[in-house]
Amino acid sequence: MSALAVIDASLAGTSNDLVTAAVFLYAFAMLGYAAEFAFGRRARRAPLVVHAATSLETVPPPVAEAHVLSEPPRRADRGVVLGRFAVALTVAGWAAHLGSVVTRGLAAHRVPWGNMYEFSSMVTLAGATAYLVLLLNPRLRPLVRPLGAFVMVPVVLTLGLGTTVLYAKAEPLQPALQDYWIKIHVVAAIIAWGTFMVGAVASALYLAKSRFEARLALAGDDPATVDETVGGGIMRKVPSAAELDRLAYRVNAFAFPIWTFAIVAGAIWAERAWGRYWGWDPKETWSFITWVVYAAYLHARATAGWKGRRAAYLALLAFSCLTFDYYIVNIFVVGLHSYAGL
Amino acid sequence: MTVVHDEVETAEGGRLSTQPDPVAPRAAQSSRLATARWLWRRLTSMRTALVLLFLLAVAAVPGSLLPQRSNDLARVDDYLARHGALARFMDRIWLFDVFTSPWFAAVYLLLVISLLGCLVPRWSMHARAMLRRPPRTPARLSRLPQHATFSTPLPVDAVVAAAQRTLRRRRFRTIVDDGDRGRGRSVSAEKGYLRETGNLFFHMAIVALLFGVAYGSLYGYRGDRVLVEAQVADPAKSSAQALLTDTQGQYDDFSAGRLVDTGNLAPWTVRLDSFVATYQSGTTTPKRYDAHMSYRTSPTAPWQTDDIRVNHPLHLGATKVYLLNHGYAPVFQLVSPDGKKKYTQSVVCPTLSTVTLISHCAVVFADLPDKSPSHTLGFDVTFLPTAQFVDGRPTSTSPQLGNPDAIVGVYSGDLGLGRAHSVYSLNTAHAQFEKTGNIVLLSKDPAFNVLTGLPGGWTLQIPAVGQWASFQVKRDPGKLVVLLAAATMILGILTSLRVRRRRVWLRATPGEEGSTLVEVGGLARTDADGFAEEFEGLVQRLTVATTPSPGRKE
Ligand code: HEM
Repeated sequence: MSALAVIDASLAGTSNDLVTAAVFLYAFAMLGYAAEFAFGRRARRAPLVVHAATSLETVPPPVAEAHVLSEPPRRADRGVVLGRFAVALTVAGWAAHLGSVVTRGLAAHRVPWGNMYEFSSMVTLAGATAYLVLLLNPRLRPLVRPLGAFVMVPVVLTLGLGTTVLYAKAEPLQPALQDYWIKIHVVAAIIAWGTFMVGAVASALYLAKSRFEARLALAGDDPATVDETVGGGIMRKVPSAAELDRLAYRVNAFAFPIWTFAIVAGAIWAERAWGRYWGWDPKETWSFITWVVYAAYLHARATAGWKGRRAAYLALLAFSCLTFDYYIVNIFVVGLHSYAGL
Repeated sequence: MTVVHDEVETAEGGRLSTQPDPVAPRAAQSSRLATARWLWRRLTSMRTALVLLFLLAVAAVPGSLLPQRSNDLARVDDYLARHGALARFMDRIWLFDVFTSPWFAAVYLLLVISLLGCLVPRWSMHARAMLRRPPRTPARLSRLPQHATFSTPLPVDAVVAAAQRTLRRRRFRTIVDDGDRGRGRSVSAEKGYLRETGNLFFHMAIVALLFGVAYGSLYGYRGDRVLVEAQVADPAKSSAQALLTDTQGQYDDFSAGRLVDTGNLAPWTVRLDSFVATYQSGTTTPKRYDAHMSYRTSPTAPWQTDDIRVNHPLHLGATKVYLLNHGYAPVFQLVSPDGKKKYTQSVVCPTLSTVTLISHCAVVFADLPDKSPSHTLGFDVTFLPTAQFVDGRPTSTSPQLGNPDAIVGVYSGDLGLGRAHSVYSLNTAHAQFEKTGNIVLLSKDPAFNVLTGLPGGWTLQIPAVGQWASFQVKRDPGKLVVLLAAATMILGILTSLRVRRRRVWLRATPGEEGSTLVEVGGLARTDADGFAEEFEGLVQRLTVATTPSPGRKE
């Protein structure tokens, strides 16, 4: 720990300005994605649909896909332009966000994840990064793009809540937090969190879309009736249920080992700081519960009768546990981790 | 068990798990053995694992929302006092000891049994699968999910050799079938065996981890102890206030696993030489704590020194000493009227606030050689490191010794010595209240820096203020097993989720004019997502590898 722990107030101010800019840019991006739904034509289809049939996993009735596929793709309509604009706004928001985190760290001469505000900022940065990284993959792009509006919702909410209700001034870390394991443990938790966030969005959309597809199948020859609802219009432009299910699995399965690592790193740190690697502190307990429910989700995906909707509910339950772990346990439950500070 | 070697059918049937299905007992087979077998199958099925995992999560919830004895005894007592009969009922069903309760143990023991029952057959199945050759080339490759054909001027044998090389380089296990259903030669290839290996290691590691936890709790122990800085440690107690030897009787609080030989702990001794708390300049925010220690590993070993900080325990063999807490230990001195007799003791003052370090403690001087009733004086002390009057009430504005002040309540008579009572507060039930006074430690004025007018003409002063620090001594011999198991779990799950199982077949049949017709088929046994691209790339490579190019040596 360096002796100079004086806060650079002007840099801290820059950080706050940047994070405010990021919230607004993300919010505008969200509107942009929504406008793409409202004004755009059908989203272009991913080539993935073709080999959906080669999957070993359950393939839902192909009715909906066939229907959507029958729509000829149009290039460069208003929706696409709006969508591109939204992506540009997301990237701008992400850049401002990254700048805010970096300046915050520089201002306080320490890692920028020492209290709940900073943690909210890091988690949403991880979520936005996960979304943008998935967009970078040309094969996944058409699948991930329509998720933009839905990913921006938790990002804007979490970051908005962080910068207002949970906001805390830049201050040096307490002695208990001054350890290099804070970097390892918290960074892993943040990456897992942000990625799980995208996974939860995919699972939620999967549930909505699979219900939409079921209704479409029921409607049979007259699918137009289903379209008339607002939700129907949006649902039609969202990737197929099978694709969303696989995306959710990939994202969650990517985050699960990282979450496992975060818990193990936390245990190593606890051993150094408190003399025991595990003590069923409320925070530890909820991390464990979250881990177990995600493991249950991974099992459910391989269990007949559980894959599909039930597995998706488990994934959402697991994400709720993660959210509970973060907000409720940090704020309301007494434990060793309470010093994380509001 | 038809699972491993059957080919396309099973895979296309959508089964990912190689776990046998639980089979219901047949009517004809209704013997007890069959029922037991059926139960065992059920218990070790994937669905049961799912339910048990879910139960484990649910069982942990009350442990996080209700106070637990293992973490916060005082809050449990408080809860019991406030909620009466309901709380007593909750206590009876272990709701305040969830993680050591029989029902929590039941869930995880069932999970372990289920895991073992599920793993043992999978290990042997996997071992057999590893030894077996990749399956024969199916008759009609065009029926596979992935399929491609191309032709090349190379002869059949060269194509087969090149294909085998290409596939091996991509880490396929390959086997050549020369008599391939009388149609030519073919290569069967399979990869991704590591997936199941990783999965098995992951699940085995869970069992190993639980074993490590259990071992550690049976053979480990924990002891808490408060030490006072050596310079101020009570000389009457020959500085024992600063020393800790690893024997059960020396701890303020001690708990050991069932198989620990408590009469025979480690032979080391530690001493708190001094304690330094550093604060952010001009604030009450702590920056770091350093406990400067001396220690020796046996009564005959030389003394050595080291520091204990938060996140930085002292290692004494397999035992570690951790810093838990700190506070002030004022030195109280009682002086006789003629100034000749002095009685001194350092007293640990527990903190009431960890921010301002306002502390409270009890000081008793017994057996005084004078005529006061029962020869005992007791002082109820509130210690303020930086005293200030806010709204007419004394408080402390900083944890540092800015303006130390002791507010003292004086009692005499029967202070209940010998009766069970906390050492940190006075038992004044039968005592005589004398007066309240104030000692301003830094004052030069004798009217303020000593407390006079005590019964028998004694005066009380505080010549020095030391610090105390509390330590936890911990030994957990299962820790290494737990750590290794955790590392194995992470590596296992990464392998299991990343590696994909693929089967590829290539059939080479003679075509026109010495050319060869090549047919390739592919099957993703797990995680078909992205397999089309992967297969396409592989076919590309195979095409290149079987294209004769003069400049290249293959
Ligand atoms: C604390 C307990 C457990 C945890 C944390 C856990 C975790 C996991 C995870 C994360 C996977 C995913 C691997 C993948 O998707 O390929 C998995 C797969 C699997 N687990 Fe567990 N598991 C546990 C208990 C059990 C038990 C008790 C059983 C058996 C009765 C079991 C049987 C399986 C099987 C068969 C698979 C492979 C599924 C497949 O082939 O894809 N697990 N487990």
